[in-house]
Amino acid sequence: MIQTVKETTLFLGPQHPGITGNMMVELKVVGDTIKKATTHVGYLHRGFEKLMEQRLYIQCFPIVCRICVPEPDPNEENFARGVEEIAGIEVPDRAKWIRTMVLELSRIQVYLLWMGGQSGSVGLYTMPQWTVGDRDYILDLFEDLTGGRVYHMYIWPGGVRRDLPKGFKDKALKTMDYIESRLPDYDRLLFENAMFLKRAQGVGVIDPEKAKEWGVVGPPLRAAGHHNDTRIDDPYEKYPEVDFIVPTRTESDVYARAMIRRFEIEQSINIVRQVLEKMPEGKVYKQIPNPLYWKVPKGDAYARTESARGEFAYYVVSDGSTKPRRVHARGPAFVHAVSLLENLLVGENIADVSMIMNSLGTCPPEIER
Amino acid sequence: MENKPDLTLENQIAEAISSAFHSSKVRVVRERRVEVILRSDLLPSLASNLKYYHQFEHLSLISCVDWLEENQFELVYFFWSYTHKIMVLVKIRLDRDNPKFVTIRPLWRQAQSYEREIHEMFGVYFEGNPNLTPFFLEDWDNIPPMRRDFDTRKYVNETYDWRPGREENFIPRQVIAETYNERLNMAYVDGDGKMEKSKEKGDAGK
Repeated sequence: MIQTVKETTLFLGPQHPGITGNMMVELKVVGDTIKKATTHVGYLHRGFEKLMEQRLYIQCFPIVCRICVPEPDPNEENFARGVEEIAGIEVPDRAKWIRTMVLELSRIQVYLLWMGGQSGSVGLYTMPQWTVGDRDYILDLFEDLTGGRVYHMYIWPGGVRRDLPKGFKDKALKTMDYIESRLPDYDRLLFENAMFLKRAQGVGVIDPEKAKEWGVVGPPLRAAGHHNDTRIDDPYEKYPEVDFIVPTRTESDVYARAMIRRFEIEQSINIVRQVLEKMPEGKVYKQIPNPLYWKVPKGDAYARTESARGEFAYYVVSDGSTKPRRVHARGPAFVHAVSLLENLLVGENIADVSMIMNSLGTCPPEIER
Repeated sequence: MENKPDLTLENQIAEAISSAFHSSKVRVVRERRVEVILRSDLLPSLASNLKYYHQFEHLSLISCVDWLEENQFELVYFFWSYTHKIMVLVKIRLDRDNPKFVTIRPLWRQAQSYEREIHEMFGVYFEGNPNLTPFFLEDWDNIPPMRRDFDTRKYVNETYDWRPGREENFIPRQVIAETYNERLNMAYVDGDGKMEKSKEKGDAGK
C-alpha cells in the first residue's frame, strides 16, 4: 500500500486576539502533527526604543508602560530603577515598599488574565468571564492609587508619584481577601478539572536540563524544577525584607506551569499583606532636578525584575545629555515566543499550539517594542 | 544604617577573567554586576570560557549602542550565572563603517534572534548566523532605523502624507475659528457686516 504524506502550511494568527496576540506562527503540518514552526512578528512594531532616544527622561515614562499591555508596572519600575542607578538617586523607604506592592498587585492581575487566556485556549469559556471580572477589582485599586486602570505612569525616578490615598489599606486588604476566597472556585473549575488535566499533562515539555541554557525564565523555568527567581537571585526594592516561597515543580509541562502560577497568586497576596503591614510612614518621593533640564550623568545600568512571565530587564545608556542614548527592553517573550516556541512545537498537535503559547506567556508587544 | 555589600565573589570572577584575558579591562560595578571591556575578536572565547568554566548558563540579552561621534558600534552581552548570582556585561566595539562580527549562536540558541534583530536595526552582520532575514520590518529600503543618523521625522515627512488639518503650520486655534465662522455663515443669512468681519479675522492669522 502506498501512503502519501501531504505537508500543509497553516497560519495561526495574526488576527486572533487573546490567544496569540498580534503575531503569527507558521506551521507545517502533516495530518495533525506539527513538523516545523516559524514565528513571524512585525504587526506591532511601534519603534518605542527609537522614540525614547528623542524624548526627555521624564517623557519616556508614558512610553515604557505601553511596551507590555497587560503588565505595565515592571516596565516603569525597571526603567526608573535604571535611571536612578545611573544618576545615583536613593529612593525613600516608603516609596520602595509602595513599588513592591504595585508590582505584586500587577502580578496578581496578570495571572488572573492569564488564567482566562489559558482556559480559553482549551475551550473553557466560563473561566475568562470570572477572572477578568475579578481582575477589575485590582484595577479599581490601581485607579484609586494612580488614577489609571491599565497604564499607571505611577513609578518614576526618585520614588512614586503620590502617597496611598485615604482608606486604601483597608480596601486593598478586602480585595486580597476576596481574591483569596475565589481561589477554591478557580481550582474546581480549572486546576482540578479532568478535561484540563487530560489536555495539559505531558504536553509542551521543556527539557529541564537544557532550560537554563535555552534562556527559559520565570514560571516555565520553575516548572522545570529550578528554584530561580529574580526577586531572590538579584533582589531589588523591598523583596529581601518580605517572606515568600518560590514554588517549583518537576514535570515541566503545561500543567506544571499552570500550577506554578496558581501558587504564586497565593504568594503575591501574602506579599501584599506583608507590605501593607510593614510599610513605614515617610516621604514617597525624593526631589530630582528639574526634569525638563535634567542631565543624567554618563553611564549605563541594567535593571532586572521578575515579571509575571519571567525576567524583565532594561538596559539604559546615558551619554550625559537630557535624553537617553539607548533604552533596550528585554522581555521574556523574546526568547519564549521565538526560539523556544519554534523548537517546542515540533511534534505537538495543532490543537495544543495556543495552549502551549499561553503557558509560555507569549506577549508580542514586548518582542517588537 | 546600610550594610556594605560583600564583593568577594565579584572580585574573584573579575580576577579570573582578567588573568585569562590580559587585554581586557574588568571592573566591578556594584553588587552582582561585573563589566568587561574586551577586544572584539576575543568575545567568542570569553563567552565559552564563562559558560563552561564559570557556570554562566544564561544569556540574558545582546544589545547594541550606536556611538555616532566615535564612529563605532558597541555590542553589549549580558551573561547571568544562576550559580554565583552575578551578571557579567561584556562590551566590545566595532567599526561603524564595516560592522561585522561572529555569531555566538552555537553556544546559546536564543542568540539567533537577538543577532537577527541587531542586524536589522543596526546593520551589524553576524557571520555564521543562519538566518538574518528581516524580522520586524517589511520592504525596508532605507538605512537601518535604529542608527543615530536615521532621522525618523524626516523619513515620515518624505514617505507619508499628512492628514488634512495636520499641515506644517497648523495652528489649532485658527482652524477652530475658521470652522466656527463657516458655521456662522451657514446659520445666518449672508450680507450681515458683522459676519464678514469675523470671517476676515479668522483668515488674518494665515
